Amino acid sequence: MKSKRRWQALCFALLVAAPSVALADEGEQCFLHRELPVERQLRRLSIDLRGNVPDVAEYDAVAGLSELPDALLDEYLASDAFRVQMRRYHESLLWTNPNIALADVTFSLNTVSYDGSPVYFVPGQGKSALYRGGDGTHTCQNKAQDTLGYDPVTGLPNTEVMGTDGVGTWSAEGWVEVHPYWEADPAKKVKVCAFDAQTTETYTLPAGDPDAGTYSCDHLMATNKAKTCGCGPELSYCMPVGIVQPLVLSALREQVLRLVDEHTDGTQPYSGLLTTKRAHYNGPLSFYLRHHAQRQTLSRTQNEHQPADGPLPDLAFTDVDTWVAVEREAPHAGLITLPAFLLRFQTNRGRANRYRIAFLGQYFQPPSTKDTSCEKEGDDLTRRCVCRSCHVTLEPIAAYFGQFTEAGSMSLRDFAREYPTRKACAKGIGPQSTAWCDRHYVSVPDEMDPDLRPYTLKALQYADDEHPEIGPHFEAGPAELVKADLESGRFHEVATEHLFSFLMKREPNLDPTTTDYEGDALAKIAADFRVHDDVRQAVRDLVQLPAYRRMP
Amino acid sequence: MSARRLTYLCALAALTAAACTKEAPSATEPPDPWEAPTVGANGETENAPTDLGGGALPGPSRGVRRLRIDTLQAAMSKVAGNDVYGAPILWRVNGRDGFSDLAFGKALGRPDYQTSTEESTVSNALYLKFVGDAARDICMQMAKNDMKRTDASRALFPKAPVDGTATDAQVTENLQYVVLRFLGLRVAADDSMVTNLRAVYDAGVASVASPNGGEITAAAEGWRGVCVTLFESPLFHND
Repeated sequence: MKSKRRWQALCFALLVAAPSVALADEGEQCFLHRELPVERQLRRLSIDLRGNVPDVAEYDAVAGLSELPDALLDEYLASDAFRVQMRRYHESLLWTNPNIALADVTFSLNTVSYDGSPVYFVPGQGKSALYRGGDGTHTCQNKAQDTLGYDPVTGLPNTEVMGTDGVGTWSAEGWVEVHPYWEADPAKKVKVCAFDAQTTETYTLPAGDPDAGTYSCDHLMATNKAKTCGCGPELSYCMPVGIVQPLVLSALREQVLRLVDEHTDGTQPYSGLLTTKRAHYNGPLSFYLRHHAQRQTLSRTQNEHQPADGPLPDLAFTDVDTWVAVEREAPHAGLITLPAFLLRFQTNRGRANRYRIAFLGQYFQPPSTKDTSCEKEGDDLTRRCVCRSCHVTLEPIAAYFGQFTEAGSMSLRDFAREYPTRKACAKGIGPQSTAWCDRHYVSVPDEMDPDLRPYTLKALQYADDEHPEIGPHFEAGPAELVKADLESGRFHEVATEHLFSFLMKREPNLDPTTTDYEGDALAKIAADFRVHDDVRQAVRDLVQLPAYRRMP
Repeated sequence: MSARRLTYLCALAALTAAACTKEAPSATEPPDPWEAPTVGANGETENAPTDLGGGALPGPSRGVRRLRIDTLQAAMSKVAGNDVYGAPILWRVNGRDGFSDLAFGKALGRPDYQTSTEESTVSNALYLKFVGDAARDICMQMAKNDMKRTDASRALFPKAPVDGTATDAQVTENLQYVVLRFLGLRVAADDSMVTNLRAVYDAGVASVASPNGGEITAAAEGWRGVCVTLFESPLFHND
């Protein structure tokens, strides 16, 4: 076997070392600037626009031609394969493949095996202790709840004392059978612990309670507040992570790609990628945002659906392949305010930085010289030595994303900008929560009265006279950031350069002192691109450049 | 590193060297040489070469470009065609597509935009190793499936019989066919690429006994060698 491999390699060396008449040229010019044979032109075009090589019949169809026919280019650009290529191209720009935890122990569903069949329960210790007493580590018993019955007054499942643990006596209910929302077949049921299977939608805190009133069981703030709150109808408030999370994460990725489809197939302007208010939802994504997003603990990503996100389509979780487009409201701006982008870049600085790279072609670099006359300590990065060389530019841009929570995709448009005290801040949500306040707000010491510490949205922490751009940029939102870059033409210039690199597999030569300067050609294509705003036309212009038909 | 791998790398170097034998005209003067230290770590004065022995950087055109993993996966499968049952021929690794992320897709460099965000365009040793594995597996499948087909529908040797009766003209015609199928190059019968590949074919035929009682004949083994050579050729991966 070894000898076989040796002859293969040796012969291969001979093969590649000897210049082919099809590729080599005996002239004085290096092969670097040599026209490709038409078949290799076809191969290159097919790989770039269709993601695959041609077959022999396609090679034969262009035999004898000096250049590829326009109709072939049109066919490739109109193909579904080109749509897929544009998806990959934009994913490489935006890195939008979120991978985050969408549930926590307070509403995820685990299973315990009884007689070989799974019984679902919510594993949160606080909730279990509320239901069953003891140390919160217990689940229901292997018995149908019908045999135990329900309390005629409270409606709660009856329980039986099971024993005593380190905290005290604990009791357990039985299980019930429920059709869960993730099963398309209405006849299919699963076993669920009876407390967790409760279908109550609201709970009421009595008069005299500081938060007296009626609240939804389907919210983070309901956690451990009421024994009557379970997983709701069809277990809608709870999530079997292994089933739901992959579908939702996949939908978040697809949501971006559907927007890319619309703005690269010629039906919508390319710049609309950054301006459109449209967003697409399928069943799992819509269901997650309706029932689960608002249940996530404050220490994880916050993705609660807000009025600014537009109406959620009424889709069942099982409508995986049904996509419905909805119109969002300000401050949304194209794909840079879709959850996949906001969750991939979880800080406003990260979002601004990626925006600059992907759409302005600008990268931050550390200073090459020593920074002087600056603050060596302090939290304000626009003043701090070394940091400020980037943050003077970055902070005002990051402020455009301030209306979206960091570590989350939730819009903060309708949130109060400021509360006078921490107590007032905690009452910003019901039932009141200082943890919620600390998640979204930050105290700003009043220099005149140290005892007065108003709480302001975190993105507005430095919105003061010394940072006059932050406040207006926060209120303007990402749409204003995009608008400026569209009007300047920079967006189309950079998009042209990125497409050039995607097609030519190299950076354009933008050094005007060199003989093969490509800046003028790119400027012309970018100027046209700005007018027609059609990425397919820009690709057409680029692949018709002489540089695309030659080696390399 | 095996001798075969060394030979392969040498071949890559030979290609780039042979392809560009003239210096490209330079519009500007070369930059000043790097100022090399003249005092070594041991404190003794020494004359270091001005370029630290590294030589001039190759021009940007020498950079190796290749298919992305997605397009490599699609291209190898398309060139291989379907098996006799109509299913696409894939690189099989433990029952999976070898290019998938569940096999070697990520190791080959396909980005997931979580742990890896950019796909390198440089063919490293790992890339060459996996491409070699894929080529040998796919080419064997192509040869075996072609053995079950009639002449016209074969993917690897439609122009030449593999029962030992092929004429020189038929072998040459089939070599021209596979060069077009694999590389998109329409070459003449006397092209050096054809003659070199003929050497590969002949060596393959000579490497096994005929008849050998195996699934593929000696001639099919020759074509399998040609197939592996073409899949491993830089011309398959680069422009």
